[in-house]
Amino acid sequence: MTESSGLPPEQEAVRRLLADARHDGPPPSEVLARLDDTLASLVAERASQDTSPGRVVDIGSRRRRVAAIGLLAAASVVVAGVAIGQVLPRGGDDAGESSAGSASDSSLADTPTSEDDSGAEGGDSAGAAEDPGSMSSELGPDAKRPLTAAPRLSSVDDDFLDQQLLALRPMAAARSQVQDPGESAVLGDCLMAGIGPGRRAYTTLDDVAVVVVYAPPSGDAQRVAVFECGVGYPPVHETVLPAP
Amino acid sequence: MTIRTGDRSDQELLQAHVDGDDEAFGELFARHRDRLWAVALRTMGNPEDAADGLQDGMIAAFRRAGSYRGDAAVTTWLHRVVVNACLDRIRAAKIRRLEALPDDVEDRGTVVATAVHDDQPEAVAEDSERRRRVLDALATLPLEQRAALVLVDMEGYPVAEVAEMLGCAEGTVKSRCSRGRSKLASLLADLHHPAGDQPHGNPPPDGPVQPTVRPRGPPAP
Repeated sequence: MTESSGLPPEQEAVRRLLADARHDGPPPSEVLARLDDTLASLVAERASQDTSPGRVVDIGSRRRRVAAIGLLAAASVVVAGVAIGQVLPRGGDDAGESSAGSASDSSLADTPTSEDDSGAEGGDSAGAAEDPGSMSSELGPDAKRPLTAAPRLSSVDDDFLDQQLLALRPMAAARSQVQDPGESAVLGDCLMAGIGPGRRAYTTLDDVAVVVVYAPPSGDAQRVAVFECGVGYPPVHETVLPAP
Repeated sequence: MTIRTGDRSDQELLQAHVDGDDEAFGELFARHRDRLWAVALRTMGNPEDAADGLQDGMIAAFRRAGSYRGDAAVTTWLHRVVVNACLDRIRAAKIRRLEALPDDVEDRGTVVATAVHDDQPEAVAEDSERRRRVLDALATLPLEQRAALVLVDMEGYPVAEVAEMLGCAEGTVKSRCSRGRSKLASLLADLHHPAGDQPHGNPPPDGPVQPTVRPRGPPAP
């Protein structure tokens, strides 16, 4: 044990009470079964996503993988820009920078513009196309065109991510509750059931497609969960924001 | 790919998992599962949330094993991941978490720990009541103090190791523990007494007598 000496008697007594209240024994059988099932799912997921040994599939690795692709793309854009002697459109810069897996401060910087677009999003592919980095190519063939105008999220820092989620919230609030058929076809496995009630926003977190669920506010707080598309529980990030 | 997993160290198992061994992580996690469960249970305050926290931690550890750099022991890293998963859950539900623990906070650990008193039901009941009060009081502490006390005082980890688990300085851990104990001391004033001594003096007028040793006679009214 630690700190066994030098404590005032009162604190030492509390320490003993806490030690007496420690838990001994394994988890209940239902918890063990749940952990076993989850572990089996993780193993299966890894096997299905990456058959080559020596790699752990996680969001970080995907982000790095995309980053490499993004760097090449960004370099190509720069070369092309120099060659034609023109100033690149702002959207092109953003695409290259974010694809490169940077901290993506530009995601927040772009937020007002993206939120301005939110009124048109929800099936308005023309509006969405103005933000070329809204969804990464990781999503598959359907994702070659952007899904929504939502700013992309970065998990470099939890506090920063919470700020991004706060900035994204107006877009979720502005989304129509009725799914646009055209958009549904593009969102694919992001249209998950059973991840709780609330307003949703579809975007990427570290270049992985995610659904952000803003639960109905409770008092002065609102619970927010970020789910990886096609995966669902557990959320990759949860937080509590001040209620709108 | 399946590799024989017997007799491998924690670090070897974690590396094997990163290298694609499908069995390694399960064996590694099973080694530390009971203690991780205990930490999750006491940090979260009830078995349901503890199960969620432990599962979140397991998933995070599975997916982020590649980020382990070997600076700390694997078990320290695992604790850190699980504790952080629990703290994230508590923060996400902090509005509800500020409320008192449910009445059925007792868990299997309590049953196991009190089984030695099977021949003395009064002692079992009193132990159980004392434990419940301690856990209730623990749940009122700020999150950081609670986590520090669970790891240091309940689980007996060295302060230096807990500092690594919680990602803070050793002095911060000590400070959190000290402040947490002080608050618990006031909440549990009728329970604690100097080490090795019988409780003495009159009980507080507004509270029941709560002996910390097995009573010789019938339970106090």
